[in-house]
Amino acid sequence: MKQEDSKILSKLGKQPGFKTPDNYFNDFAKNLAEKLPEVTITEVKQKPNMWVRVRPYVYMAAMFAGIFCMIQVFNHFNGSSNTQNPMAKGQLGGTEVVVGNGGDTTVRNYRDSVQSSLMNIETVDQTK
Amino acid sequence: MWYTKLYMGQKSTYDEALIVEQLHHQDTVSAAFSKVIEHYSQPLYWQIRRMVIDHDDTNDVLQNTFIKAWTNIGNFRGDAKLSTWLYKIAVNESITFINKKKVQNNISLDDDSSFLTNNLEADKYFDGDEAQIKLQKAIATLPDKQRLVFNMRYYDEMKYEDMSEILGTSVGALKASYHHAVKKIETFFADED
Repeated sequence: MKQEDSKILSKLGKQPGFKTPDNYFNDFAKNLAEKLPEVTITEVKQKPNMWVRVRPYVYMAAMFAGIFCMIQVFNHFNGSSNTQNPMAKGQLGGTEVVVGNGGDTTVRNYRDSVQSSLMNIETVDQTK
Repeated sequence: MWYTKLYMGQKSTYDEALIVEQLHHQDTVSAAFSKVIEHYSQPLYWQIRRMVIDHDDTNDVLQNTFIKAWTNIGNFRGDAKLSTWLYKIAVNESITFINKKKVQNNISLDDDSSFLTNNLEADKYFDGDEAQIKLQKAIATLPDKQRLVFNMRYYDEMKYEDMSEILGTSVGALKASYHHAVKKIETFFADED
């Protein structure tokens, strides 16, 4: 600050020489308070920002995505464990039993093969 | 802050954050604004006084400043500092007052404000010596904006960053403005001698 000021200003000092009436500031505050008109403050509730507004939907979407993923993982591991268990895969007597679409057909095939095997056995017995 | 030096030892209970919060509620706004008046009347008075020179004129401008702040208190959202907001109003009110005076005295708005210091010697609320009268006359020859910058920097020792917020001018331009003001005052003193 001193570097900015000139020699003249540094000699003059920083008192401008103004003064006020006695108790001016105390009286000013009192007098002004009486002059102020009525003011109504409308308390405006702050508008929530974008994140606050979309947050419930994001959480809901995340929840459904989580459930979907869990189902996928469950199906994946359930499917692979079925592959390892021959009983589950329905490999009885060399004929595959597939449960699901077309399951009826494969069960029928299995039944037919079992019947034909039994017939073969009976035929062999008769020949004896 | 730059204005707290005026309040050392006084108003130690003033909590600006609390006051700003209270200004937003109908039941506390009046009491909070009374504290604002108590706290800011002195620094704003001296800022206005150095612009308009006369005490009675300063009193009017200061009243207008607070009345304008009060009637617009609902628009003050606390984004800027309360002091900055009040100083902006005070600066605008001072310049509006000086321009009105110029019109009343048939002086062009582009002319300087030397007419304000014509009766300084006779002013009962001025007790400065010859050198101080001369300095006030020199300051009055500056353009209004430059006068504001000079007063804020020289008398209040306000930071350029704070000044920039109040006047809406870049720090570089304010530094240049202050430098020009000092040079003009030096020239004024040199011409008078």
